[in-house]
Amino acid sequence: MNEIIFSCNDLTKKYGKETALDNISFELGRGSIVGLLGPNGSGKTTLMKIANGLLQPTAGEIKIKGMPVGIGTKSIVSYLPDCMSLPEWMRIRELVKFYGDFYADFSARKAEEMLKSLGLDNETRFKTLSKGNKEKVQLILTMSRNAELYLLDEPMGGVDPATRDYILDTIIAGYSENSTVVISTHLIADVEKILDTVLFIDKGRIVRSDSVDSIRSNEGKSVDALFREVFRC
Amino acid sequence: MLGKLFKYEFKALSRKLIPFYILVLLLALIHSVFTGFTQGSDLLKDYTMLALAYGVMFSLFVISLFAVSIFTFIVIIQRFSRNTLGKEGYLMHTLPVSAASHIFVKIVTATVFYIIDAAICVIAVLMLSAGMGANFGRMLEVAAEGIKELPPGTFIFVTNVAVMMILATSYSITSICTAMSIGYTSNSHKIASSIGVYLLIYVIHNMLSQALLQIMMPALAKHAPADIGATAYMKFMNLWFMGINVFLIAMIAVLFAVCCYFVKNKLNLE
Repeated sequence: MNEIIFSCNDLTKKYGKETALDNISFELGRGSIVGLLGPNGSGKTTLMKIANGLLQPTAGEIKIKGMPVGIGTKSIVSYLPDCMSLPEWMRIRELVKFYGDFYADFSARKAEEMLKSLGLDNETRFKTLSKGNKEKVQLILTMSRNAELYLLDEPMGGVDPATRDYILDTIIAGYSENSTVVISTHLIADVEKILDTVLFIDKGRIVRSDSVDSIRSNEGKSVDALFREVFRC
Repeated sequence: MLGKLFKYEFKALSRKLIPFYILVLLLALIHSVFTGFTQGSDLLKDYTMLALAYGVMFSLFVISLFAVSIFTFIVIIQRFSRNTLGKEGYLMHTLPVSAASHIFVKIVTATVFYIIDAAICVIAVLMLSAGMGANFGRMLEVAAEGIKELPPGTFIFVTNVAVMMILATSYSITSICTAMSIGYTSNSHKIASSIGVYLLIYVIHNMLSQALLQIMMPALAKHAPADIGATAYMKFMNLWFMGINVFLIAMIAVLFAVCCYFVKNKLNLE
């Protein structure tokens, strides 16, 4: 494995009596697109939130580039939450400026080029955009950072197939060989074609970790087919 | 980073509060001009509709003066709720900035806007006075003469009172932010929980201030002036207000630490 960018050590998260993450440990190297795949309620979002300092673990820890989650890791991690988090009152131009002000690795030029290709007016207020365009703008801003680690939580949740394709293209366009992208989703068929590695998560446990090539050659099936088999109700 | 946080915080609050400030000043101006025209004439007696309009205008002006601080209060709470504890929190708490910086910026900016509120109200009342024909030149002369008569220590006293008012405002905002940061850890009834925590903070504050008063009274009594001369009385009052200010600073520090702890470790975003 390349240099370790993300390590999760004996991580546990409990909400009262409910265990969302159950003593999970894994490592991710640089330069790959990883699918964090699991059904609803499997612990994907909780893991993402802990990695971004939005939740504190009950036990264990996450280290990013060897650092515990904090201000240092936030400057190298680009996070896309599973909800609209951008201030609704800002214009697109102001949002680009906002990202540029706070993230040293943000490329305003890259963001403006991608926004231009969408045909969006920079003076448009975020609240007036359609749901699909809001998702796209949020993703463009996230992927316009030259971050070392991208954590994308359900980037394709609730959008039409055409928008899904746009999102995948944007992820690939923003990704560089030196960075790692983690995509949390349950829409396997859509993301499968861009994944290098997959982590199957179920009831807060990592139940399988493998490369996509290995799954295809050893199992003789797609990741989507394997997912359906593993998580059959 | 702190400067950038301030920039966006001021921008976010200004866009809602500045139009309201303009409205208050506009009402004051209209009322002032109206008063200037009608004063000394029988216009209001002769024209019922004009008198009615004057009454409505005056009522609107008085309501707007009271509404300024209420509106600011609502805007500040809404901003903290959305930006720190709501969906925008996903963006704000993943910026490379500490939780303490976020809270600090919120409290300072809100305090500044309360000071602006007070300034707007003073300006509005002065505008109204001008319309009524107030002689500001004479008023300043009287004030200047009065200042000469004031006992030594008055400047320190006024400073102490001004500092106390600013600290009391900051304290109120800090206690609201703390109450919300604790109340929002609840999965349901977040607002009711926040009000509950605020009442608890209020009770604790009162208990502490009473206890402190009991402890400090004997010490203050020692310094109480034997003769009730103005200079000695001023010194005593300054000591008293300094004590209050130190108490407020300590309370703000404690609540700030609690608020930061909850925002950093117990965040429960929507």
